[in-house]
Amino acid sequence: MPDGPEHTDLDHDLTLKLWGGDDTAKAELLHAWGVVVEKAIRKAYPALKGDDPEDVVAEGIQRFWLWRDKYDPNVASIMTMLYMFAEQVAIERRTGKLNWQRQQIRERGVDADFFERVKARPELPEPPDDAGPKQSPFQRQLAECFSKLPALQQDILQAYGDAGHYPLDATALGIELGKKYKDGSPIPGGTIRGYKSRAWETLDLCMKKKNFDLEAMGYFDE
Amino acid sequence: MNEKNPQMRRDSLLRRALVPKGFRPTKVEDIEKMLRAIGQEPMTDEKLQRMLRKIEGREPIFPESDAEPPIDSSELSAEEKELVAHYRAHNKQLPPDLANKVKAMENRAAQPPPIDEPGNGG
Repeated sequence: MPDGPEHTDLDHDLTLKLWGGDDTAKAELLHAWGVVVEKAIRKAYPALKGDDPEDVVAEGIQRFWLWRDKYDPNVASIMTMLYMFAEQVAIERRTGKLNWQRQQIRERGVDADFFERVKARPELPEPPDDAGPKQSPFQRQLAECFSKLPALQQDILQAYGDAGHYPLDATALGIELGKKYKDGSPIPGGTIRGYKSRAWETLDLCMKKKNFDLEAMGYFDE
Repeated sequence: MNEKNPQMRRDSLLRRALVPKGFRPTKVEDIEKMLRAIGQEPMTDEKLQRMLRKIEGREPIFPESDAEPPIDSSELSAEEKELVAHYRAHNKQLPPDLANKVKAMENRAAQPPPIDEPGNGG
């Protein structure tokens, strides 16, 4: 058997419908994989609350639909592609870039960069703190220190973490967090970066008390 | 060498500390594995209909974002973006120069996307 994604009869049927632009495929996509993708997004992006995970999936499927004629079953199954699209929307939502990306799609149609990012998955070596299938004691201590930070600082650090390789614009994040914390007044980008530094200083101290020196261990801030 | 390894960024470290390993896959095979482990579950009809309305544009996705036209454009500087958000948050009128710039941007954004939509399978 050649390596590659597994395909079921449903995959084959839906692939043909996607390529043919058959509108009934939307309901079938949702019915088959909407729940599983939403559950995964909730776990992967725990900072998304309320209706956000559902909306992330809806927008992910909407974009997948626009892109459907480029779908290649040899690259990934439909279910996996739906997750990858939804994940990209989740990151945009977390980093305050959702409206900007929507505008790009409206202005330029299908954004080549966006879809390249969806496909490009860098393979990186496993970092020392992440060995083993479960949360390491070091990660557990860091999570405990994190939980003691003020809510705004938690939101900022988590957004940077969720952004991953996606470039985070502190101004866009400040506008988004201003809606939550400042009655809609934006938090300037410089202030966001200041809060981020302060939060890491607090985490550094907290971790040192637990005998972990982040800097000496090679963890760096940008 | 660590300073060159993106995995050693503190942002990445924090994500690893907060999200279980199985839920941050990067490779296609691992995503597939994660989703299969969660398992397929049918969607209730009510939710399916609601999400369909969203996908087809009959109901807003992220309604509070839809209520506000996007202001984060490469045409605006960081200061201008903050200024627009500030004025909007306080229901104040934008300075004329900035208002014109934003208006032009919003008009362009309101245009339908130039995407070829195939017919309905026929």
